[in-house]
Amino acid sequence: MIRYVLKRILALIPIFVAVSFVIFSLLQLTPGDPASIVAGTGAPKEAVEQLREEMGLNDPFLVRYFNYLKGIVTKFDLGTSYETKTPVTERILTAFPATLRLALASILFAIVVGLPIGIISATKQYSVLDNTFMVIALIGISLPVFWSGLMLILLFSVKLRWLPSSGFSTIRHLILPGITLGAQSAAMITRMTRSSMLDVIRQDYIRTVRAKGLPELGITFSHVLRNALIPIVTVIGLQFGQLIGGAVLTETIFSIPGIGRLMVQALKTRDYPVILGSVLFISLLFCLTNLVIDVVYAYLDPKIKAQYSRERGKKA
Amino acid sequence: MIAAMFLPQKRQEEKKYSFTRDTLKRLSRNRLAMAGVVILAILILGAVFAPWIAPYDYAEQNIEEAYMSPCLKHPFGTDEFGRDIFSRILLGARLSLVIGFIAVAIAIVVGGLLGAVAGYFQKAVDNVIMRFIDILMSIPQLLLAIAITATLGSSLINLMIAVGVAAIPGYSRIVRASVLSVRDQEFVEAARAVGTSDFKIIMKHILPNCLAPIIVKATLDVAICILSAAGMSFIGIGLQPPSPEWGAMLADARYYIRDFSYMALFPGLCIALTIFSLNVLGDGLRDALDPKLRD
Amino acid sequence: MSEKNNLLEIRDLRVEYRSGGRIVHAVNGLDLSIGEGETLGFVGETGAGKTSTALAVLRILPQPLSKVTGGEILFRGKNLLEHDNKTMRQIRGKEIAMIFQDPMTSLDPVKRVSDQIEEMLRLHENLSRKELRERALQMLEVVGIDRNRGNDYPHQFSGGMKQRVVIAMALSCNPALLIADEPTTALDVTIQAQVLELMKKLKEQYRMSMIMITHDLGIVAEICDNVAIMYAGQVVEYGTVREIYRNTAHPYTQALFDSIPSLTEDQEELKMIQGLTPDPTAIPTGCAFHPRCPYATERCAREAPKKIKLSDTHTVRCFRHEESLSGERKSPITDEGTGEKTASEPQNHHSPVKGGRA
Repeated sequence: MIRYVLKRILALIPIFVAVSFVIFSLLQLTPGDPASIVAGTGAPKEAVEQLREEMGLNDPFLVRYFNYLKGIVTKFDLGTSYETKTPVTERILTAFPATLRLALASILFAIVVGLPIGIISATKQYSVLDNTFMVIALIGISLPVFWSGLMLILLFSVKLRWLPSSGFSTIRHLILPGITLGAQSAAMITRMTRSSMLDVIRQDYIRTVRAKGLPELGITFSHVLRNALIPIVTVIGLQFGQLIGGAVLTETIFSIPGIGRLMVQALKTRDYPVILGSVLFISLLFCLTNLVIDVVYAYLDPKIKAQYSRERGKKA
Repeated sequence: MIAAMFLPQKRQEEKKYSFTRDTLKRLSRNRLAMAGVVILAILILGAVFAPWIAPYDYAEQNIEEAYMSPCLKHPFGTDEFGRDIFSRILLGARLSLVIGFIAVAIAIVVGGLLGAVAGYFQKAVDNVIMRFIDILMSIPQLLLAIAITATLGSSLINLMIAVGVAAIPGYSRIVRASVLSVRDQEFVEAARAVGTSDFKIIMKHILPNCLAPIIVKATLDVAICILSAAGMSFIGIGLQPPSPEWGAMLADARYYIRDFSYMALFPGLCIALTIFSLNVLGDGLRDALDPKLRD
Repeated sequence: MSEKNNLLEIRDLRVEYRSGGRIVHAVNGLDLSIGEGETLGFVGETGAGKTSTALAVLRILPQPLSKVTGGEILFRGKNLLEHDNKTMRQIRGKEIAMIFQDPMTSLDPVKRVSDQIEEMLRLHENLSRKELRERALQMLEVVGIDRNRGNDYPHQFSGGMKQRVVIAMALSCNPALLIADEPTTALDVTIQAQVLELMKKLKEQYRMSMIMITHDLGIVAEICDNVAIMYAGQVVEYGTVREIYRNTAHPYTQALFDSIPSLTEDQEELKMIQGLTPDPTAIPTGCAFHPRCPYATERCAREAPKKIKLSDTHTVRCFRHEESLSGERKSPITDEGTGEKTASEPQNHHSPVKGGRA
């Protein structure tokens, strides 16, 4: 198992290099000269030219990419922000905890709400309750984050004055953004839980368990849910990845100083090293999340686990 | 399989026809999906005939009528420049729907071709293409779209491309998987034996096989693309105000949420309705096309 | 049918399914009884309602699509249909255990096999964790599986081995009645013989009653005491193995025997029963078999035949035996040819099974 994880982490390296190359080249294609952005408007031509030389912008493209990659590998250096002149790595790491907290709060909300509702819906298929839940879930996945956030602010901060609409210091600050960002995932989890549990309920082995005399509750939890968990975990994992990406919008609405807002700011000021750095960083997190899902998979599904050990056996 | 090839052409067509009809019949029995169809139809009609329906010019400013709450004269109220929000939303529907549909069309064409080529030729070609798809997939969709817009600059076309490219991987995978599952079947070999070109084989024999999952995914993806595009406009890197794009309108309305909340209510409601209608339709299509549920 | 010592007695059972707005009559007034220690063969084509009957006995018909609409199921004299859910759960597994048709899908894929046996024991026996474990491993040994394999998952077992696990699970609480729903159909022929042999052995060892659902008359001859032939949700003929094989009374039973390929005679082609199993949403009027019956008369289409007693143990639903009711106990079809032919059938059919084992 550990070997498998190591192998997967190793496999991430080429993907990460490729992603960095794609994003790096994308941003190289952008119109506008970074040196003039850094120098500011109205800077003398010579100064800009000197800056170009200093920033290595006159080097060939591949050399620049190689230097960039070298910086990441040797000293986690993602370059220097044009705007603040501070290391990008530092800016990202400062912003990351807020994003992580937001994402964790959202996924927690999504699981706590989505999973039980999905279970209830599956066990009461086609009941009024189930139909209601399913319509709510459909509405849930249709709500744009940037609108539901505004509406929650309107209701809970402006009208009811229960919760703060911006800032990020206490748990109270996490509630509205967490719900905003987590609502869609909750709906996704609900739908996936329901449908995969319904798939399992039809299986023969559930009939076997019923013939053993196990009470319905036991059947639902220790067999149906247990078997349905594999696809559910995938969705949770995917949602977590999406959340880190979707945090961009939520952070903007609630003025949370996370990576998303950092990136939006960088986009406005064309601070390319920061854009590049944040996209890379989030993609890396995304890949790591996928890796974690795969490991959890193996834990949940003995067949997949056996596959890993077989692979290892072959190698050894 | 071989026998099917020698069936008179007409018989096969009949079969296909009844499949489509059967699917539509099942779809029409799904009330939620039908609600989606109706909402979507209204939105599309509204978008197409926007200039004729809209009571005002969407860009016409009228400072004297600024910040008007919804009333008879302005059913959705007016914004900070006195522009009629209802008219702007109608025009915005055009933008959103066009972005959504064209972006997905881009994704289907590019992604589908990549997947077909990868699956059909296999080996090195497959490897190169699928690794590229892997890379696209390891960047969250919205971020990829943002990175592409940052590069291309924000215009309507660039926004479609950015959002569309991010949706490519799904189609490549569907088409590739379906190609892999049919490419070695007798009827494809037979077609190859009589000298049909590779391109023709892919278009005629393989693509129709993956139509169902593509239709379902496309419906749901139009929703995702509209959402991404609106989100990008909202954070100011998609279409910019004064464009009546719904996301851009929300971005503006955000600053007036405390006092003029209706300004944020209607554009958002329209996005949500659009997404909802596409989602229920996609769900309904999936159920209708699912052979497992066919009796 | 009034013997008091019947373990299970089913009277006029009716089961319905709803399918796409139509009602399917899966079981249509079925009568059946099984005594202590008896093994009953329950024979019929696919769709005759055999499995539905079994599921109805355990009250695990798929909800909410199907339900028992009439009749009673007496187990030790008490109607199972009237028990509350809790009592019923105590009967499932403990009193009546079931083995399902497809071993590939009847074990939970994410649980170790010993855990699945332990679960059964935990539900019905008051044992410590250690005892549970030990009993589960013992059960594996009973069915011929190494106890060290208890920690394996179902996918690590072959089909035959999985069925052994299922049998171990079913027998772990020493049930009074075992319902085996085509336990060997999904297995290879050689494995079939092994599993059947095992079941035969364990049936003796555990001294339980058994209902063996099958469509294979060879299996019936090998393992059963009595046979019920089922057609369109009804028992059309019931008797001891000997009676059914030697004095075949119902044309359907006859047709079943005829459809078995013979090894000793040269046959030009396989004999098939004419026509199809009746559409369970539209069961023919009168005798359900009449559209396929070579002897059908106009009356058969009109009127449903009553149960006719040919001997103390032999009953049939067919008008052709009405005349013989007049006191005589002898088998009505004394047509020499048929009698001889059916008499030779069991041996014929034995051979493939035996041959497989050799």
